[in-house]
Amino acid sequence: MNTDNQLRDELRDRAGDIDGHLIGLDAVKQSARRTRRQHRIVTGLATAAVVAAVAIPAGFITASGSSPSGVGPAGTSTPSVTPGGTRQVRLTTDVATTGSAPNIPYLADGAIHLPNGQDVSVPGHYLSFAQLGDGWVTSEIDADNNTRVSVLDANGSVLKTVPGGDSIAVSQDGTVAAFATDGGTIMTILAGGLPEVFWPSHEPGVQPVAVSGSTSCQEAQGHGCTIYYNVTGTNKPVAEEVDSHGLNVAVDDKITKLADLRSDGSYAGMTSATDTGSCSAAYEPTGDGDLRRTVFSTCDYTLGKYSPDGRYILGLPAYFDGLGSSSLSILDAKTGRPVAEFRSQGQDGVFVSDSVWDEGSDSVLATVWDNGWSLMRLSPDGTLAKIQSFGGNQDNVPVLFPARP
Amino acid sequence: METTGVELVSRDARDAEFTAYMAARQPSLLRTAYLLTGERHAAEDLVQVALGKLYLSWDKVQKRELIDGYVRRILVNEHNSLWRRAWKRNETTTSELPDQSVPAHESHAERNDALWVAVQRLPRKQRAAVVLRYYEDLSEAETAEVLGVSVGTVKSQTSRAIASMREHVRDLPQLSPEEER
Repeated sequence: MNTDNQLRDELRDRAGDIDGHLIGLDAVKQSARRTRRQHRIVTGLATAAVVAAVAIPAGFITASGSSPSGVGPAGTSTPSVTPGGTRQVRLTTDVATTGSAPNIPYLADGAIHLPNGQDVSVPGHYLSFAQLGDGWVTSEIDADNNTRVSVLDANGSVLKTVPGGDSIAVSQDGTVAAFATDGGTIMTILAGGLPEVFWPSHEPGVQPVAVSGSTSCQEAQGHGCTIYYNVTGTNKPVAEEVDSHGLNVAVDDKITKLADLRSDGSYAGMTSATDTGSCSAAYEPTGDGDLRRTVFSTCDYTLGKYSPDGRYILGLPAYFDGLGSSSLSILDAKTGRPVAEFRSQGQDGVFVSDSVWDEGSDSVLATVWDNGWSLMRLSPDGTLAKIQSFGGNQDNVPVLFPARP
Repeated sequence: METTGVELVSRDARDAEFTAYMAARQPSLLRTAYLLTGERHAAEDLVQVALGKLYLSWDKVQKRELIDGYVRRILVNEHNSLWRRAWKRNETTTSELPDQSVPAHESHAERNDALWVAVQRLPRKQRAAVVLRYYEDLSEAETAEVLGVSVGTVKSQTSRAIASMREHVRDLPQLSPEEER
């Protein structure tokens, strides 16, 4: 007997002995949902609540979550400047600088904390949320392990709950929100309204990224909307857009996952991914019809959201696993050059979970694990400031940032 | 909870089609997964994850005859990926079991056990290449497609695997060039 036959016979004999229990459709669906959530988390290009979600798998916010343990500046994290002008900063929460409170709402301890100091108590274990007009849109997992989307009024009372995923996108003026159902139907919610079917894509893993539109999505009223979304539940991820006419096209043939799209037509996203890394690129319109030009491309970073004024764009590592990102970079949006890099040292276990650009500033808000959770403010000048410390364990991120335009 | 009628019909039809595929192919997938993992419960977990991913992609796979190849690819990649994630967490696991050479001159049954142990000792990518080539009877090109590597890589992975197994099971016959499939 030769090796070929010996091997073949042995493998067939061994495999022939196996008789495991059959897996049912419900178990498969459960696995599919877990995969989808992990995909969102691992790629870090989530649209939902964050600029670059790198949340821990089990880490969604509990209404009765961790309690703040106070602001506690302790040490310093002084930036050093490389010859290229990049400010290199050690990522730690052990800093002396105290950061100012967020200028955007954020969710912690079962309440949405508003910039004016007021709190809105909300029920539920949320995966994501967004401000919509005076009210709120939230996403959570129900008792049957399905994700659902709720519309809440300004006081946090639930007005309506429907099936829907955890990716919520909002328009620039905060009057239109979009999400998708498991079956791929894109839904919109207008400020003061309830969820409506916008377009049935019938594609799995649809994640809205951006919404262009205001007040109404009815063409007849002269207010059409366009929803930009990623299709992630396939072996060939794509970024697509669909408008109020139902016209559905790819955002860009080069983009496999859209990270952000600005109202001036600039956009950025992932162009390729492998088991060990990824490449991304930023584009801008040329003003000549549908033509666009590449602003920069990079295989060093996974690109996230643009800063509110468009000067910067967030950069995360080109590859990272589900625990989170060991670094966070603020890149020049015109060149891709890192302006400031906040990087953990070696194996110290410090990582960024979620991050979001704050309103009215160039700085980034981030939840950072460093033997405890802290809400931090990171600035292009290399300033690393602590806003607040939280208790809790590594698996339970205590702060949730809202989906931002 | 509200769901549109169109969506319900579409989802039900898809679920029915997917369930039929699962019923037909699950035993076969489990056998392949077992050869990849060497452990029944791990194989069941692997199949469940792979089917979950296939479910998410179901509507995208236009040519139904390509599904088997697609799910095989998910199975292999997921197996490698799970190991990689575990390695990242633990940083102590290695791709190979400790070297425990199997003595020569065993009985046929002992030799088969030794061969099975040798297969399990292979690094994951080599093991995947061996399972696809020798169990699934895929060609080098088909194996390359599933593994997402070049045909040359399949040849070298398989060749290294055979050499490694021969080290552990010393009375395996020499592999002649024409046996290099």
